[in-house]
Amino acid sequence: MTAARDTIGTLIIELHDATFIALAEDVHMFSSGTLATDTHDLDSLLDAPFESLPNILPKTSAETDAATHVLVTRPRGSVTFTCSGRPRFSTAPAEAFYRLPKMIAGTCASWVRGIHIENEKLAVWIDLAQLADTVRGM
Amino acid sequence: MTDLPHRELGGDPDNAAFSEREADDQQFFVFRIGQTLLAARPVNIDRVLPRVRPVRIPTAPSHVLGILHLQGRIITVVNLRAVLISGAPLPPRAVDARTLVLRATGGLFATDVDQVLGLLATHSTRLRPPERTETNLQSAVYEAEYEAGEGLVTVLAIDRLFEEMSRG
Repeated sequence: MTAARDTIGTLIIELHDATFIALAEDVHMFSSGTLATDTHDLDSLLDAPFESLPNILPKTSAETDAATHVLVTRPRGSVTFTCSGRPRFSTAPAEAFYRLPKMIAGTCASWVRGIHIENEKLAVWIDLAQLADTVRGM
Repeated sequence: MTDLPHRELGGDPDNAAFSEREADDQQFFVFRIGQTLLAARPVNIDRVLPRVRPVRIPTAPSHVLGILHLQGRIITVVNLRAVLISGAPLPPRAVDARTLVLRATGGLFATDVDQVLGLLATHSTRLRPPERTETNLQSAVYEAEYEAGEGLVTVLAIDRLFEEMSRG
């Protein structure tokens, strides 16, 4: 009898031709529709070079009508991200997560945690809790 | 057809002149990015792949094209064209384009190249220090250069290149 592999709850976000994976425990909920609160555009954050990060502004409510919202709850307040992709919850084995290669480990933002590889498919592992803190300027 | 007896054919590998001639040749793995010929020592070459499309990493430095997964290894792909090569790029010829995986002491990394010329030998006396470097990075990673039939070849110090690329 083989030991059961550790599985981790994940949130998969597919944007354009890239796949991102976050830990489900960082996500309070996601939903579609209009939110009255300020939101941050996950598409831009994940595409943006590091230098432009502070310049990313919250989207207006009109821009978020058709988007999917991902709510990340943090001890000092929640942050809502919008994204054009359709997030979905899933699970992944713990051993499928890898840290960034040494060459870029020290140069990427702290919320870019590493890589997830499963069935030869690569996803970028992001830390939504850390990203929420980053956009709130904490 | 000359009918030489077998005993008169073939060079003598134990002959001093033969050994010295071979020892004075150095082999370099030569590749082209744009119009620039670059080279690395064979020990620094891991493999040549058909051009691969790396996965982009958000917030990575601009010289990083992304990462690729190669037989269980995760390898950073850097854009040497952007950081080392000056002048207008040549029109791309997809048929020659390759991704070159390099082996440094610090680890593996890869770069896109426009053409691979392969292993070429040159005599040690033809090697000279680089005469012209335009940037600090070029000064750091250009190890030597030599004139070959294909043009001026610049030899890269791959370990130093890995260190420089890791600094962002």
